[in-house]
Amino acid sequence: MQIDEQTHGAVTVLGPDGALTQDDADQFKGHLTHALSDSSGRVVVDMAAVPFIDSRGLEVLVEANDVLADGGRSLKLCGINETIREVLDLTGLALRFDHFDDTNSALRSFH
Amino acid sequence: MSESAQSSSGTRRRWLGPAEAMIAPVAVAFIVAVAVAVGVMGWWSIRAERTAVVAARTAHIVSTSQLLADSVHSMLASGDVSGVRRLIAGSGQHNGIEVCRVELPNGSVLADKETANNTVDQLPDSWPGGDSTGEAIQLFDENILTLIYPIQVPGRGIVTLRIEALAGGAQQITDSTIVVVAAVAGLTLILVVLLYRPTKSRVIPFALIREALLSVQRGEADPEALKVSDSLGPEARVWNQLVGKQEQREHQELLDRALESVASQKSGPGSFGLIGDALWQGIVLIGEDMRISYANGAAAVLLKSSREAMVGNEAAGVFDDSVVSVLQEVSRGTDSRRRTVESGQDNEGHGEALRFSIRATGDSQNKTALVVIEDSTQQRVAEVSRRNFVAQVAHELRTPLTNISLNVEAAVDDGEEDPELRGRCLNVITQETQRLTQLVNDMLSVSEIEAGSMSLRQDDIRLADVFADLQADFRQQAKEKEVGLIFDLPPKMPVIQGDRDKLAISLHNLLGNAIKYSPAGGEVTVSISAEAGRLTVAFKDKGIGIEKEELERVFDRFYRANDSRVSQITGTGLGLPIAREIVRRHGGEIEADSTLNKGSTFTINLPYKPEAA
Repeated sequence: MQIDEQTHGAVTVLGPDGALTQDDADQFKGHLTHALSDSSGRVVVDMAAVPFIDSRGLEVLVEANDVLADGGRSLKLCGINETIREVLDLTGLALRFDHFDDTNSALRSFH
Repeated sequence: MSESAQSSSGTRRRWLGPAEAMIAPVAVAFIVAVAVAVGVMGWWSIRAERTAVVAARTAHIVSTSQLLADSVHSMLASGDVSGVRRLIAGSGQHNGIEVCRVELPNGSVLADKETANNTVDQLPDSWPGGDSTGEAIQLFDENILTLIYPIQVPGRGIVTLRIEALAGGAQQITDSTIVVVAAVAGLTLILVVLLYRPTKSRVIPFALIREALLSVQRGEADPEALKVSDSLGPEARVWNQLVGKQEQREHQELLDRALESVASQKSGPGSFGLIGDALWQGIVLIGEDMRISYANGAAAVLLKSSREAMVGNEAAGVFDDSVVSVLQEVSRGTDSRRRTVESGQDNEGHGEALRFSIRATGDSQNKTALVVIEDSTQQRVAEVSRRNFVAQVAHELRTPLTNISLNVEAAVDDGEEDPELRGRCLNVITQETQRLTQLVNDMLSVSEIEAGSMSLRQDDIRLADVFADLQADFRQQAKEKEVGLIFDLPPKMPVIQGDRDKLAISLHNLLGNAIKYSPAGGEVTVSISAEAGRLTVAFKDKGIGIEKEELERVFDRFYRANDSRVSQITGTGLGLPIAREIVRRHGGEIEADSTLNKGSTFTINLPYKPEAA
C-alpha cells in the first residue's frame, strides 16, 4: 500500500492510497504511530484516496484517537467518502474524530 | 402498627412494668411448678404413710385375732365357755376392736365384746352347719377390717369368731403431714416473693435493653431512643456505651463520606480529573515545595513525559530553565502577575514550540502556581513564514522597482538624445514589469493556497498540447542562456484529468528553475513515462545542484538555498511550493533528488488511469 506523507509546516499529512483493510491497515498503523510520536500529535489523515475501511482499519484509527485523547485531542480526518462516513456512523465512531472537508481546513485547525 | 404496639406495651407497663412484663410468665411458671411439686410430694407421702399405717395395723389385728382364735379353740375344746367370754370381753377393750364375738352357725351369740349381747348361756352339745373348710376370711371395707375365723369344737360343731376393727388412726397422721407440706409450700412462696424484689432490680436493665432491641427491629433509627437510664446499673451503662460508640461510628462514616465527596470535587480522579483530561491544553499545578501536584493528560503528552513521572516530582526536572526561573519567582511571591514563557523553537521556526502561561494561585501562606501549556508550534511556524514572506516580498518588490525607477530616470534624462539608450531602458522596464507581474501572480497563488480557496477544474488535459506550449515558452529563454533543452516525449501522449492552467504553472516553475540554475552550456532533459496508475514527469538538469540538507526545504515558501550562486539568480522562492501544492491537489507529489555541482532532478508523480478509449 502506498502511503503519502507530506509535511505542512509543523503538521504531517498522511494519505493512504487504497482500502484500509487487513495487512494494509497494519502497515498504515506503523506509519501513523510514527507520525504521531514525531510531530507530537499534529497529524491529519487524508482519507480522500481510501475507498473502503474494514474493522482492522477502524481499529487503527480508534487506537490512534485513543492515544490523542490522552492529550485531550482527537484524530483529524479529511476527505472521507460516503461509504466510510456510513461505516463510521453505523459503528457510532463518527463523533470521536474531527472531520474536515479537505487538507487545508484540517491544517488551519492547528492554528 | 408500631403505634398500637407501643400503646399496648405502654398499657402493660402501667400494670406490670417492663421488668414484670418480662419475668411475669417465668415467675408464674416457676410458682406453678413449685406448687405442683409440693402438692404431688404431699399427696405421695400421705398416701405412702397411710398405706404403711394400714398395713401395720392390719398385721397387728390379724396376729391378735389369730391368737384369739387359737385361745377360743382350745378353751371351747375344754368346754370353758366363761373363760371364752372373759377373753373376748377383755380383748375387745383394746386395740380399737369395734366388734368381737363368737357365733354359732344359727346366729346365736356365744360370747361378745359387749356381754349384754350374749344370747346363749350354755354351749350346746352339738349343732349343725358351719363352714367346715376351716379357712379364715379377711374383708377390708371402708377402713374397717373384718376377720372371720371358723373354729372346730371337737365333738360338737363349728363356731365362728368374728372380729371387726378400724384400720384407722391414719387420719391424724395424714392431717399433720398436710400441715407440714402446706408450711413448706408457704415458705417457698414467701421466699419467691422475697427474692422477687432484688431479682426485679437486676432484670429491669435487661428488660429495657430488650425493649430497645425490639424497637430497632421495628425500625427505630434514633440511637438516642435506644439508650436507657444509667442509674439502672452497670449493664445499662455498658449498653449506653455500646450505643454511643455505634452512634459515633455512624457519624464518622457520614463525615468521611462527605469529606470524600468534597475532596473528589476539589482534586483527584473525580469530575475535575475528567475535565482536566478533556482539555487539549496541558495543565500543571505546582505545590509550595516546587513539586508537581497535578498534571493532566495533555501536559504529559506536550512535555513528552508521563503523568506518573511528573506528579510528585520536582518541577525543575520537567520544565525548561526559563520556566523554572519564573516558577521560582512566583513561589517566592515576588510576582503574582500572569507570565508567559515561550520555549523550544529556534528563530527559523524549527522544532516544537510550547507556550507556558504561569500564574500564582495560592494565598500568601500557601504559594502554588498553575502552568497552562499550549502547543504553539504551528502558530510559530506560521508566524515565521509570514515574517519571512513580508521581508521577501519587500525585497523582491524593491529590486525591480529600483531597476524601473533608475531606467525611467535614465530614459527621461538622456533618452531624448540617445534613442538606443532609451530602447534599452524601456526593455529593462518591460522585463522588470513582467517580473513584478509574475511575482504578484505567485503571491496570489500562495494566498489562494493559504486560504484554502484554490479550486481545481476537472478538464481533460492533453499532455501533448501542454508540452508543446511549454517547449514554445522556454525555447527562447534556453537559447539565450545557451542551455540545451531536450524533450524526451513518448510518441503517444496520454490524456489526464485535472486543472490544465494550474498544472501548466507547475511545469513552468519546474522547467524555469531547471534552466535558471543551469550554467551556460548546460543541458535540461524533460522526460515523461506513463505506467499503469502513474504518470511521471522528470526535469533533469546538470546545474549547480542542492545540498542534501536543503533538499526538503526548497519546498518551503521564500526559501533560497544558502549558496552564493543562488543569490545571484533572481527568484521569489515561491515557484516550488506552488508547484508542489498544485501537484498534491491533483493527488500527486513532487520528489527532488540532487547532487551538489552535478545537477538536480525534480520528478512529478501523478495518479493516472489510462482511458479505456
